Amino acid sequence: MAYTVIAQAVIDGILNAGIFGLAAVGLTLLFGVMRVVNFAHGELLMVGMYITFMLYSAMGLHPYLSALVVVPALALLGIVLYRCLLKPLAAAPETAQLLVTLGVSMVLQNVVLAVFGADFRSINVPVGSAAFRLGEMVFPATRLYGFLVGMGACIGLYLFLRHTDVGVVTRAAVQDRQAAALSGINVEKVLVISAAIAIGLLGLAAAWLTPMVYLSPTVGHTYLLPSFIIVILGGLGSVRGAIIGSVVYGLSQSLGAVLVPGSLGILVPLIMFVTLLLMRPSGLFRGTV
Amino acid sequence: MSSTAFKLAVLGVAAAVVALPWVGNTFVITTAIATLYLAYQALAWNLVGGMAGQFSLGNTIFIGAGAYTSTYLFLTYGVSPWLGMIAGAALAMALAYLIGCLTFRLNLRGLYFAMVTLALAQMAQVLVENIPALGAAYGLLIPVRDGDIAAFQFESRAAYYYIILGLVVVAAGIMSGIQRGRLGLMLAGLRENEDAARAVGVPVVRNMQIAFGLSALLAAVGGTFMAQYTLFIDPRSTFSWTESVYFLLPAIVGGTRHWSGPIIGALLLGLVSDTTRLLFGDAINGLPQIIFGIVVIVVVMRTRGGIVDWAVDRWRSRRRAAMKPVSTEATRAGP
Repeated sequence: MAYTVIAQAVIDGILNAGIFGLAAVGLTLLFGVMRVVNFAHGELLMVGMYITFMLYSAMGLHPYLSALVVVPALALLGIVLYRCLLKPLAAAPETAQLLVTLGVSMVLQNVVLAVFGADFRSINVPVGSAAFRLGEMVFPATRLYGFLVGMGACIGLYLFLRHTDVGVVTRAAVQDRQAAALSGINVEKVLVISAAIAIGLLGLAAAWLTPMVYLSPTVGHTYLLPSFIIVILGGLGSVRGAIIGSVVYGLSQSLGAVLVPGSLGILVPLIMFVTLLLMRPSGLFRGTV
Repeated sequence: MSSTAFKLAVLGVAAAVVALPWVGNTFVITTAIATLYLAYQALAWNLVGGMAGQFSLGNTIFIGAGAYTSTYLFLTYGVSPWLGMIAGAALAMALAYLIGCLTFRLNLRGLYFAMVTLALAQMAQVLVENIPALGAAYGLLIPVRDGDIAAFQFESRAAYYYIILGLVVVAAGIMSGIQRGRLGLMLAGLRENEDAARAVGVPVVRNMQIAFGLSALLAAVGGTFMAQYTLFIDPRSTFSWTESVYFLLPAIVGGTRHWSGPIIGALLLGLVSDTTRLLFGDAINGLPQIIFGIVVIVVVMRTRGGIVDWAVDRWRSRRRAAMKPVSTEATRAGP
């Protein structure tokens, strides 16, 4: 096995981690603040990608610019999802919220199917075929930008939760919602903001993903299991863990693809996930950020 | 409703269910078989997902174990699928035992259990896709031998209907049997408060293993049935995660605490998607699933824990409310 192939796989793995991180960080935040396991996460990402696609094909808006529309749109969707479906079920059994998000994912996926059909779609922007070279290594432009934006936003969120007043309040609500409410924190506001951030980040991921993948109504599915794996690897509710977890997952995926023949390479991240979970069930990190 | 009227209604429904293949056309029977199969797999899932409270997303592993074992043995060695069904069920139980050893002993519960089983189901799919003897990604086709009962094939659809109906009855019987017995009480204890159950000496891991094993057994038998009914299996549609979700929704929508829950859930969801399919045909892609999803959301928002559980709770609280004044009277009348 050539040395460069492995080095390239390492680069690909790390570059992919940015987008995975965006999806996983939102998932972990939702779980942290409202104990909700969001099975609609992948489908919300997919909806964001279709909005990006529509803005490009109807108005010629560059996908990266469309983030200015997609992020607020998805943040709003997140607030609606929380207010209309998750909040009324706050006192219901855990499975109730999970089931509602499953229902939402079915509806979203099939509404997109009804509107756009099952055909694969893609957009053709110059950035999609551009690449940077460093010796023999290739850095596809879309992946590099995706990594920079994704990691930047994830680390930004981490710092936000760590150092700002809203962040401290959010962490307090994660640790003990009742105590937070008793000490005068507006928990409801925290939950709304968290829902907006978590789903809004998917809009960012969607804008940077659209130029590099083929869109179909089931594209969100591809990101659901990886996001869950990353969230659990990193420790449920831990933003820092999700960032590290996305790098670990990205590497295991890209290295698995080159080191293991055929489609068996897909097994590598799954085996890594199950083994790590068996050895350290609580994930890599504990705590609220 | 008086109890005689209720008994009559039950008898009427039972008679209608038994007589259905004689009165219904092919469409009705096909729909009925699909709905009964949905109810059956939901009942199988409910043993581990509802009663033991472990949200399995890996029951497709067992369905696949049943379907692939019987089909492989039949195609390669000419073994009757009836025997293959037993072998598949044994394999599924062994797999459930192994998965249980990994997860239950390590206290992987809730979301962790769901994700491990989901990851394992994906692994099963990738593995099967890479085994040529199991048809790899293309799947396996079972040659048609209409009317060869030893080959688990029948000329009329009615036979398949009665088999799946029988399986539903058996699965519902197992569930209600467990519920009335010791195991059901222990599982309820685990579900409500695992630490407390453990403290009074309930063997947690063993009970979960039993529930998981039974769930796997039923799922595998259903897998063989479906393979023989459609005469085709492939890894994508067998192990896909949508399939796992599809089989657990009826249990949650209908209710997990009573055997009628998964059946009512399956009837409702099956009826909803078939009616939309009948009304709109294929005019709008995905419309049945959209309505399916909306029904799930509405039912969960309204009932929280499934239709039957909700109805039972309401009925109980009403009865309690009705009885209250009587009991206070009684205490007042006392010495």
